[in-house]
Amino acid sequence: MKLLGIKVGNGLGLGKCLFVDTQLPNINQGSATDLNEEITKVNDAIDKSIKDYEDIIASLDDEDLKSLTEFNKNVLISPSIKKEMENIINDKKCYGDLAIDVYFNNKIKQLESLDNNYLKERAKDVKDIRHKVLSKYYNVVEFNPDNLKEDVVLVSREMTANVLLTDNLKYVKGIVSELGGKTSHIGILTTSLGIPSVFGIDVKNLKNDEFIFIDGNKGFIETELTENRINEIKEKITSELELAKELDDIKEARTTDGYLFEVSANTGDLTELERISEIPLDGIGLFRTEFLYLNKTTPPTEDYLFEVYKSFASKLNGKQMIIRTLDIGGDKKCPYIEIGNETNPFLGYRAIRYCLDHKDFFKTSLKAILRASSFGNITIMYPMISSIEEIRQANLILEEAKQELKNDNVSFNENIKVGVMIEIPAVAAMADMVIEEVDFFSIGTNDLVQYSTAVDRGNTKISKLYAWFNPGVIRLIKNTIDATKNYDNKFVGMCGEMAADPLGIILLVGLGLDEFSVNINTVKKTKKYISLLDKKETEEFVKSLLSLKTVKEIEDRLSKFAEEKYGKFY
Amino acid sequence: MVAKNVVVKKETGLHARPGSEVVDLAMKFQSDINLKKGDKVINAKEVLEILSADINFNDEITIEANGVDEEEAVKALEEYIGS
Repeated sequence: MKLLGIKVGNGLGLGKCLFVDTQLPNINQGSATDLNEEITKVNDAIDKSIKDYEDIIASLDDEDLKSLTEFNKNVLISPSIKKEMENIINDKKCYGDLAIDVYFNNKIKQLESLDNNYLKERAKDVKDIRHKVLSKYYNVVEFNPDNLKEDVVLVSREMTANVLLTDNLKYVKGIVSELGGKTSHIGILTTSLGIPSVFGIDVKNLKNDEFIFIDGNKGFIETELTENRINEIKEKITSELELAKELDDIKEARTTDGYLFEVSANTGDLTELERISEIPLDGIGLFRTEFLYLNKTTPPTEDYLFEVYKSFASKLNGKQMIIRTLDIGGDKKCPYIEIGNETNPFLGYRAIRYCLDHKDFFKTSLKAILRASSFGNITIMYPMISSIEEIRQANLILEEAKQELKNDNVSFNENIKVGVMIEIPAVAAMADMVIEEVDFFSIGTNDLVQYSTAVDRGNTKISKLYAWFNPGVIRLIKNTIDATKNYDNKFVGMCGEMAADPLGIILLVGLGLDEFSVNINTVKKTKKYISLLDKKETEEFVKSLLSLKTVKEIEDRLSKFAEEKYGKFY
Repeated sequence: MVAKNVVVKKETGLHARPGSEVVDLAMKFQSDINLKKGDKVINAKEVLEILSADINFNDEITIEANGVDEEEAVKALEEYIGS
């Protein structure tokens, strides 16, 4: 049985289901007689927990894990923690577990009450700490991966980081959790450890010891596996590992006939800053600015935005960084941005539509980008463009921003390139006119497909209709790419999931896309796929697809071509 | 008592790692150390207080220390937070 969840990434895994939730006794609500004994027990529990964290820190190599564990330890070495718990015990004449519970619940409530997603995530860490201290108080043995003897997939309703704080994870082949998202702490953690993970799975139907196949890239798990299926999966995992090994030394996306394509990364997440210089990417093809706006109660300042852009640009050594102006609205909401209630937010007041109405707000964001353009090869991209008028209007505001910086003697790149996202079918259809107004295109396939097929892919009843290879969608993409070909100094990229899809890559190489912008974790893989293709041959092949009328025919032909060209990597 | 104003130069503010590292640093000193942001007073040895204070990049805060090693404490924290 296949269960769909949220993809957190990190590849494929196979192992026996193991629930890791430790059951703690109920908190004792009664009155304690020996208060001093309770105080001693609580102090002991805190000291033992600190010791645990210190041992873990000493045994870890991974910097992210270390810093998370340091945080946990620092919560417990607080100068006031023991005194506060002692006061609770004396006031309430209660047992130690109630004092521990009350103390941490107050802290958790405090963090959750703040309008800041980052702090809400930290509240979960404090829940982990509470769990640890209570386990020590009760003398309950926590799950310990050191005791594992066979491959497992760890399962929990709400996976906690405690479980993973060890360097001994060789038997842990996957993580399944009902709660948590890709950017939750546990999500970031499993990514940094490289453990295949899928969240959002209803775990109550899973049984201890049954085999689970987990695909973190596609976001599903499979259960009730037959022996045959298990063998198939094992083969698949082996070839995936081989691919990963061969990817280690890949540098560029050069086709077998010597043509070089650009593969860059989609980012916007401060936690990925350090990885920029570790991955052989050709630039940032999509810098999503919304992360800098979302986790705040007030708009970010121009200085703050500038510093962030500058720090990313400085890691790129002159490689291009395309900064997309704020793409808010739709499913992304911000407390200080008044969008109003909409019956259809995806067709509503979002992105450039909001920005053009809030000129000063928009100008601030443009000035930050302009200032950063002195420190790297930065370009500007407007999202959700549906008409030429919007481009012209945005450019007028950009000119004002430039003029104001000039007046203040602030330096910036006066010839900064400006491009637009092609994600609305109307502009894809008139791409030849739009290209006259801009320096580049970036095709956002996620929205382009959704808007041109009129399918919400979250809706499982119709999600099958959401298809990149719908001939109508292919025509829009081809039209967009073709429009740029009359200009030597203009280019077209793609920043949707299609750009990293093995079959999508064949189509796009054949259509002549210049730049593939993909999730930072798939940069190497995308380069590998491109390097296995011959550009001229692929162009010929793709031409032969253009007369096919159904998604199925196109996919079948692409699959066959992929098997031939990618071989074991497919 | 020693006090000094400093502009926060940590890009992510005193959240995440920097918040925790301020505590590591503060713990090395015997003095009582407070951070002041507006009228909020935050104990620099309490990581949860620091987080909840929501101190961001380019905020101006005051570092105050009181004790035997107050000079060194303020200097060390100023160097860390302001660079």
